[in-house]
Amino acid sequence: MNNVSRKALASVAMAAASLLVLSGCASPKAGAGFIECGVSDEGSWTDKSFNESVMDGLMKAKDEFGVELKSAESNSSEDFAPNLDSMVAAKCDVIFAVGFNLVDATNASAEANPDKNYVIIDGWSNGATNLKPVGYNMAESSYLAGYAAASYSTTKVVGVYGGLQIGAVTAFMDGFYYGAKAYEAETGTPVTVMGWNPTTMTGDFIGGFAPNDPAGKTIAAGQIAAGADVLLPVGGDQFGALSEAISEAGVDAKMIGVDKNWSLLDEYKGKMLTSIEKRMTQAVYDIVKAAAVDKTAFSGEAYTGTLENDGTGLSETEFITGDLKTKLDELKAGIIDGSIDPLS
Amino acid sequence: MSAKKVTEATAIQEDKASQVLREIMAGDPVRIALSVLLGFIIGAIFMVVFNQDVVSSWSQFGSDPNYALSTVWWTIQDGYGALFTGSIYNIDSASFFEGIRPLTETLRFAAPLIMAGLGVALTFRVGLFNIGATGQIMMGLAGATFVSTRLHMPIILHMLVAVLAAVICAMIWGVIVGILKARTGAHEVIVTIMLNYVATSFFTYLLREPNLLLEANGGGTPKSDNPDDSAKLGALLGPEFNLHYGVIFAVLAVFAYWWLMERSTFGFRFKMVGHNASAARAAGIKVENTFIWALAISAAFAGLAAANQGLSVDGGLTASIEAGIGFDAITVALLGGSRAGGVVMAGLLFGAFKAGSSTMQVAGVSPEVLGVVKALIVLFIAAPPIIKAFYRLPKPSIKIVESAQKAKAAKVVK
Amino acid sequence: MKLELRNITKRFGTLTANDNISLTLEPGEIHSLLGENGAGKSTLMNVLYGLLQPDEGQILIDDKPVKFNGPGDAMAAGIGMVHQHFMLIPVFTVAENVVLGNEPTSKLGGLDLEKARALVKEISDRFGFEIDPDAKIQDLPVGAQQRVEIIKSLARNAKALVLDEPTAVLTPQETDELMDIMRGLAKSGTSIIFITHKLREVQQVSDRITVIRQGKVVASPSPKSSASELASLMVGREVDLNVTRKPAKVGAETLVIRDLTVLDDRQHQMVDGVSFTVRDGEVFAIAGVQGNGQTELAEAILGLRKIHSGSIQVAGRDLTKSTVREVLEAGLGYIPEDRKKDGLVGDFTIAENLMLDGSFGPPFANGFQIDFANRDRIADELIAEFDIRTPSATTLVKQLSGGNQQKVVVARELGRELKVLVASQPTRGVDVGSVEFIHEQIIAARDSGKSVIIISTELDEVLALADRIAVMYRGKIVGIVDAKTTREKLGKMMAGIAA
Repeated sequence: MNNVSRKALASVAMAAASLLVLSGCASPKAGAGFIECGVSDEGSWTDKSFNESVMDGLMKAKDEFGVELKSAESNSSEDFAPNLDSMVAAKCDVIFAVGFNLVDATNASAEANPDKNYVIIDGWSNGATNLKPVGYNMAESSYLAGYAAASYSTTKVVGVYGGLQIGAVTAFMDGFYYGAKAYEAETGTPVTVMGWNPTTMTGDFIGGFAPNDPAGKTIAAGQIAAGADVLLPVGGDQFGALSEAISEAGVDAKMIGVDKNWSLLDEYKGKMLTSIEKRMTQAVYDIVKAAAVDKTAFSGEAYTGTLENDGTGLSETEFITGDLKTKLDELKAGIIDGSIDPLS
Repeated sequence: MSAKKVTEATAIQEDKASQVLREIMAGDPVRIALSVLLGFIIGAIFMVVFNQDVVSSWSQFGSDPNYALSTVWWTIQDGYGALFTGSIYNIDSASFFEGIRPLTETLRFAAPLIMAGLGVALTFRVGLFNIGATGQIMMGLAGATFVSTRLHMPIILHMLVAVLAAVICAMIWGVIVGILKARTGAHEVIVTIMLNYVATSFFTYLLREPNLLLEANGGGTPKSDNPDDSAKLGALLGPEFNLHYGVIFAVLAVFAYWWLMERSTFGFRFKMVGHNASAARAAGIKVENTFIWALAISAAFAGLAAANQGLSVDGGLTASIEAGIGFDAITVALLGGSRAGGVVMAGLLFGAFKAGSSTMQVAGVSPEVLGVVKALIVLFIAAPPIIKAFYRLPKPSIKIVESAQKAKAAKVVK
Repeated sequence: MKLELRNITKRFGTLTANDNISLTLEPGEIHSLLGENGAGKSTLMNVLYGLLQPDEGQILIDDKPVKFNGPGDAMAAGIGMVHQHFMLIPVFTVAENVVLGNEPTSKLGGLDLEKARALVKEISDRFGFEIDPDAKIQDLPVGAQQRVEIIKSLARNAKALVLDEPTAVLTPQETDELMDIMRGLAKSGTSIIFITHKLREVQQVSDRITVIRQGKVVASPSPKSSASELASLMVGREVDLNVTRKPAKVGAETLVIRDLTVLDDRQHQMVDGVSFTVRDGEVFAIAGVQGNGQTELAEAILGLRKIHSGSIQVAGRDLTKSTVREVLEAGLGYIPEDRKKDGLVGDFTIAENLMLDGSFGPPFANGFQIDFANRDRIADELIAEFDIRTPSATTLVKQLSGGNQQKVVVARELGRELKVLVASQPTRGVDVGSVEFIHEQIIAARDSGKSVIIISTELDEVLALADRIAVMYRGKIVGIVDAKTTREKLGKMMAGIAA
């Protein structure tokens, strides 16, 4: 289907919709007839991480706009291509593929089906214009988190560790490191960042993304023993293990959440200094809204979540108040206007 | 004297375990078919019970019972209809050619399950409970990936060398189990579980090291380069289909297995050891060496499955390309009674499950339902002999069987 | 308690396993049920025990009809059964096993082991069983395990005991002890159904005998009947229990064993400096009570068990360190004492079992492939020659009777070129008709000039077949005597008293 006819169809539909609204009948929701689809990365839609955030966005769009949702979970890399194929067969209007593991399969599917629209979360397009990559500049918000951590810390030792040493992880760690060092430069109080050195590219890594990996707990225990009282684990859901390490050490250390606002969960109330949010839910919702409700033409233009467009940011908590909050807002404005480089 | 009795007692225990294994494998076709049917029926119940439409329609059962019952029916029809559409024939497609695509997908998914399943089946018939296919596939993937991404050769030759590398690497892993079992008496279940972990970690390690298998422009994710086109298993039915030459290897593997087990002297000795190791020993067979050979050949089949997986990817591969085949292979072998034909049927069934899984999900059936169906089928097949073994401690059923057999023999004499 | 089975008929499909069988068991009586394997004894007992329902006929206790829907009903009615294969848990103690399934409980609902122990001790003392309630089953000899089974039944107030082939697993001494126990029980009012095919025992202990053949009661002979009368009734034709044989024509010393010492799995010395030679054309018997090293000696000769010191030669060739395959290929045939364990693969067909040790080359193998044509041809020949009663060569061996199974082993071993035959317990668990046949085959092998070793715990068998007899006791050969030695003298030697 080409864009002209799509637009024509859209305007007809809009006209029909407004007519219905005007006539005051029980109207179908704005996105009725639109099919949004999702293919998960390895793991389920309820993984408290990437997949779940995307699914939340799809569900939100479904509830608000009345779009139809079709989804398939991938158990292994073997499932990516067949799942995408099924979505094509199911006549989806937009297909969300979650995670960089699906990059190859999604690009291949997008090239083979130029009339379908794709979105790849945390991936890239090899050139297909019907594939929209969604990425995040996580260093920006991580910079703020690093500053907040250094400021909150009483020992002035903060810790960070990652799942695997890959770009998607070290972006957090870089920003966190430089944010903490910014506090040191500003106040003259020496701040130690354990677990990552952006210059030598060495640090502490769990070796995978399995939830609450005992290896992560061991790393955390080591950092706590060396004085760290704010810790950032960049590896999905490691917070159960980290909480244990903290309570076993008997110290009052805080954690920094990743990807979503962890302080909303009962078990982590008061334990989270803040969370570095990757607002995928919002991005997904926005993309569906644009296509299904606003009827704007789909483009392969990359979406990058930044502080500026609120695609990423820190969660508000009881600890981020007063002067610290003011200072963080200042830093945020500086990053947005380019006067501060979160990677230095 | 009493010490000797103790060893006899343990011998009896072991005998019991392998007897259970034998009985599971000797499951008759009718019972297997019934188990499959029962699995599907209970799967349908799961589909219905966890379907929100059905739940809400039943809350209005009083006012509209017909609607409530029809939602039940439609849920089941949609679910298993989607399985059919996704794994056998898509009625909605424009042409027959397009319509049978799902069937070719079933074949594609079935091929590695059959190859690995044959491997496990072989060890079952030697009386070994080998659950090491996962590790053997991982090692096979390492070999195949090395040859297909790091070496460069002419077309076809490259593919054959890569397949051979997969087979040899897997065999090495199998032989280790055999040697440990034969020389130290270590139990193969424990050894294979541990070696599965080792192999998985080892392969991931190889994928992470830039000098080893990590992709050229890798960002640190453990992932290999795309295999050379010369090493890939080519498309069998043209570019519209994903089906590739792996299925040809599967067919050859089935014939090889059949010849080995039903026609060759090796198979005869394998079965002899599996049924009665002590009689085999008295017949001049080196039982320990037989274990090593069986595990090696078994692993070769797993290596073929690995080649199938490693040489059919688009883009680089990660360890997850193993896709649970090593574990499913155990089920396939059990379900197929460890016979060549049975393994083919079981592999096709499980291949269909894999092929149909995404269309079922699109139809709104949670992917766990198929997992439940699979597990139940195995349970129904495996459970009766296990339960019987538990209750065998005291009396009856065997006694009846024995006397029935005696009666048969008596009839024969007449 | 008077127990009566009246006109019992039980069919399996077209086969009538029990055909109008009637049997009465008076209080305090030992009633022997005699019949070959497959005659219908076990079916009848399963009917009695509630495991099978009869198609016709009824069971009466004290002249009142009863119906048993399972072993529980039978036990409650006072019937106890001791199976051929014991239903005991090896790691439990005697007391625990005795009360298993019927546990006395303390006030708190826990297991009252003290009560169980007292019960075992009381029964054991009453009948002179000499059983320690706290011994673990796995530490007890077979005979004692059997007494535990009997105690188990008595503990549940059994008034009628069914003993199914109880002596099959016992040594001669243990058999004698069991006979005493049976008499003691009978005297105290317990009645016993004694199922067996061993004639000597029937003569020794019975008050009454019922012979079953092909599902029917064929006779109720007097306990004073002779062994050959009983055997003829059982088999249905004249049976000659005496093996007729010509004097041995001995040749060269083919098997030479010197100072052989063999250890068991626990490094206990089971064979202790044994030396003997066997000549072509003679049967050399090794007698002795089970467990005196005969098993290990046989295994060592075959190469199954490592030889600690000493040597074995066959026709001048040293086989001390040879593998089983080399020994077999050197011309040694082996009939193991436990055919189900070491001699046959039950789930294989007869044809497959006949090539068990022949998979390495012609005539059964052609390269790496089995020569199916040869295999089937040879199988048919051997089935005919060795009178294996089976519908076809593709019948599974586990479906054959014990006697026919043993004939498969004998056929395989004698079906190829041999120099030496080692036969361990060649007729254990075999029906009378087959015993006769197997004995003839062994003598035929001897007469064709082979060296034959018979290892047997049954003196009757040794005396029937041997040209010379060695008696083993605690791993040593007590003496080697000629075949005319008396039963009494051999019995003394078996107890370790040198000639």
